[in-house]
Amino acid sequence: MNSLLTAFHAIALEQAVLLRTLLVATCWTALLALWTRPVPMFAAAVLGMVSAALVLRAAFPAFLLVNLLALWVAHRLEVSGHRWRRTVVALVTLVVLFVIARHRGWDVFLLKAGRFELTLFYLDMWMLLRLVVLFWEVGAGRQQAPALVPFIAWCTNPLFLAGPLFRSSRWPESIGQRRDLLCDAGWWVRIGTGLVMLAGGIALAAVARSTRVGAVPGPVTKALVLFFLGPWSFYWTIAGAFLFLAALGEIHGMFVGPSFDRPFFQSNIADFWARWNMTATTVFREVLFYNRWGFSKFNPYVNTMVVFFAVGLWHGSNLYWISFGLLHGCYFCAYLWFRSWSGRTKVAIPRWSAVLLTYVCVCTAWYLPSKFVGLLFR
Amino acid sequence: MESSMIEGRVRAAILRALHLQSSPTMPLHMGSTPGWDSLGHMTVIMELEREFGVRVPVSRIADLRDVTTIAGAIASGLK
Repeated sequence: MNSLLTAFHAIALEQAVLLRTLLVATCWTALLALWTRPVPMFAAAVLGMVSAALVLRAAFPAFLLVNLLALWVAHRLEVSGHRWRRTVVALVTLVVLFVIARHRGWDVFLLKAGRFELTLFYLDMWMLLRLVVLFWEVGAGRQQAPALVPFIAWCTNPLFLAGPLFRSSRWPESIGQRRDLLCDAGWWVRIGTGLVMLAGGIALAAVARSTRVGAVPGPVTKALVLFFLGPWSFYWTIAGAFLFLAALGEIHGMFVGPSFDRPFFQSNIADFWARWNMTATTVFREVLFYNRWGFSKFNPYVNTMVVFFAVGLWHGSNLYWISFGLLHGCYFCAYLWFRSWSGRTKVAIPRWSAVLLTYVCVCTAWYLPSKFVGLLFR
Repeated sequence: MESSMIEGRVRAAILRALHLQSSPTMPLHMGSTPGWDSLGHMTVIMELEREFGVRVPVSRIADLRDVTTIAGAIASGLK
C-alpha cells in the first residue's frame, strides 16, 4: 500500500505540468464564460499571457519571445517574392532549432539571479507543431499572417498549450460564450469522460510504477506492464486530458475535433495511427507524407520512414525516441507491402489475428527501443 | 477543356488508381470510397499527375478530397 501511495505521488509530480495546465485552462474558460459582455480579443490575449505564465513559469518570457519572432517571420513570408521556397527554409530552420535545443537542453538552461530564474530559450513539441502549421498555411496562401493581438490570444491559450493542436487559421474572430452548453448533458458527459480517463490513466501509471518498487518483477508482472498498464495509462492520461480540454474549448467556439478515436484494437497499424493523437498526426501527414521524390513504387515507403523518423524526433532528440519512430516506420512499411500484396492476391487474414498482431506491435514499440538502447550502451 | 470532360477524366483516373470498377453513380470521396484513405490518396494524386501532366503542390494535396474539388483545381491550373 505504501509503495502504491509513493508511486501515486511520483506520477502526480511527473504530470505536474499537465495537471497545472488543466487547472489554469479551467479557470481561463470559467473567467471568460462569466464575462457579462462579449469578450474583447485583447482581454483574451492578456488572460492568455497570465495563464501561460502560470503554466510555463520561468520559461514564459522565452516562450513569448520565440512566438513573437515566429509571427514576424510569418509576416515576412506573406510579402516575400519566393514565398514557398522561403517557407520551406523557415520550416527547416524551425525544426533544426527544435532538435538542437532539445538535444542540448536549452529549454532547461536557467539564468539565475537570487530567487529569480529565467529560461533562455523555449520551443516545446506542441509549440513547434503550432508554428509549423502557421508557416505552412501562410506559405501555401491558405491563411493570412495573423495580427498581433489574436496571435497572442491564440499562442498563449491554455486550452491548447500542451496539446491538442488548434490551428491559427481556425482561431475564431471573436471569443464565443456558449453558456447553454452548461445545460447540455452531452457536454457534461464529455467533461466527465475526460476526467475519468485522466484519473484512470494516472492510477494505472501508479500501479505500473509500484511494480518496480522492491523485488525484481517476474515475467507475469512484466507482461502486465508491457501489454496493459503501460499503454493504457499513457492513452487514458493523454486522451482524457485532451477530451476535457476540447470540451472546454467548445464553450468559446473553438472546435478542435477528436484527438483519439479508440486507437487500440484496430486491425492494422495504419488504422491505429489514423486514430492516435489525430490533430498531430494530420500535420505529419500533410507536411511530410505527401511529398513525391520521383519514384512511384517506393515513394510511400520512403515517406513513411521520413514521417516516423520525424515523429520520433518530435517526441525526443534521443536514441530511444528515434528508435521508437523507426520501429513504427518499419511496422508501417510492412503493412504497406502486405496491403499491396493482399490487394493483388486477394489473401486476407482473420480480423482477430490482425487486431492481436497490431496490438502487440504497438505495445512492443514502446518497450523494444529501451532494450535496444540498453544493448547499445551496455 | 470543359469542366464535365475534366471531371470524367478525374473520375477515370481515381478509379484506375484504386483498382475499382467503373460505375457512374459511385460517389468518389476520400474517406468514403473503398481504398481512398490517406495511403490511397498518394496513389490517386500520382495517377492524376500522370493523367493531366501536372505537378500538384504538396501544400494542396490534402485539400483535394473529391472529384469536383480536383477538377476545379485542375481547371484553374492548380493555383
